[in-house]
Amino acid sequence: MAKFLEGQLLRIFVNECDTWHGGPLYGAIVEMLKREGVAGASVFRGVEGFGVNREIHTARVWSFSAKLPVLIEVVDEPGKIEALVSELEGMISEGAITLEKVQYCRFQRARSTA
Amino acid sequence: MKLDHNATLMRIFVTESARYQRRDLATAIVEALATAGIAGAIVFKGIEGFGAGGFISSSRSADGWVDLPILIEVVDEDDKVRAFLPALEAMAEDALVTLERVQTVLFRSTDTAAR
Repeated sequence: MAKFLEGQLLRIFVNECDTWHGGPLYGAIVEMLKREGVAGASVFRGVEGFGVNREIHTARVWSFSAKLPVLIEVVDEPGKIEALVSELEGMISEGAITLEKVQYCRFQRARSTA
Repeated sequence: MKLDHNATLMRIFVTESARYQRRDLATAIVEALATAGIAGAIVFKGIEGFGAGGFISSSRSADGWVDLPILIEVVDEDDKVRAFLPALEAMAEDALVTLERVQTVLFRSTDTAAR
């Protein structure tokens, strides 16, 4: 039976148009997370949203500069996750992060040769 | 409005290329959830990510093969969600599963059985 551990879920909300050293910010964050040795990260693009400036960005077909919201999710041990916060503070000029407690388990087994 | 205080949100992280019995794993999981009578499931496709393999896959990447993240979210009563775990474990070769306590309100169209 799967054994669940106490972990932390970090969610990072930025915009797909945000940049970091000339490239997309979300890509730079993913690279940073990998460098810091977290177990994994997933990036999702929203279809609509708004931030602090209240301007609504939406994915309509006629809109080519949608500035859509991007969400990066990371799950790992609480200590590892909390250590990322200060690094993220330095990278994100406008956005938000949330931390929440979760139970997590990695389901993993050897690939069968059959 | 009936608030359920004993609900659990289960989130299953897999990748696009994952297979179960030569079928798409995410689709197979969703079908299994439906068969198990779980209240509902929603699937999100990621645009970038990395996992245990350590290789970053991105939809921005120009070169060939990418394996993007897939997230399946499920909310139901805690017992029902946990009862599904052995089936999920049997299907998934590699998956990250998280469980969180949530409070839910289910909106259902007026009892179809009563009509």
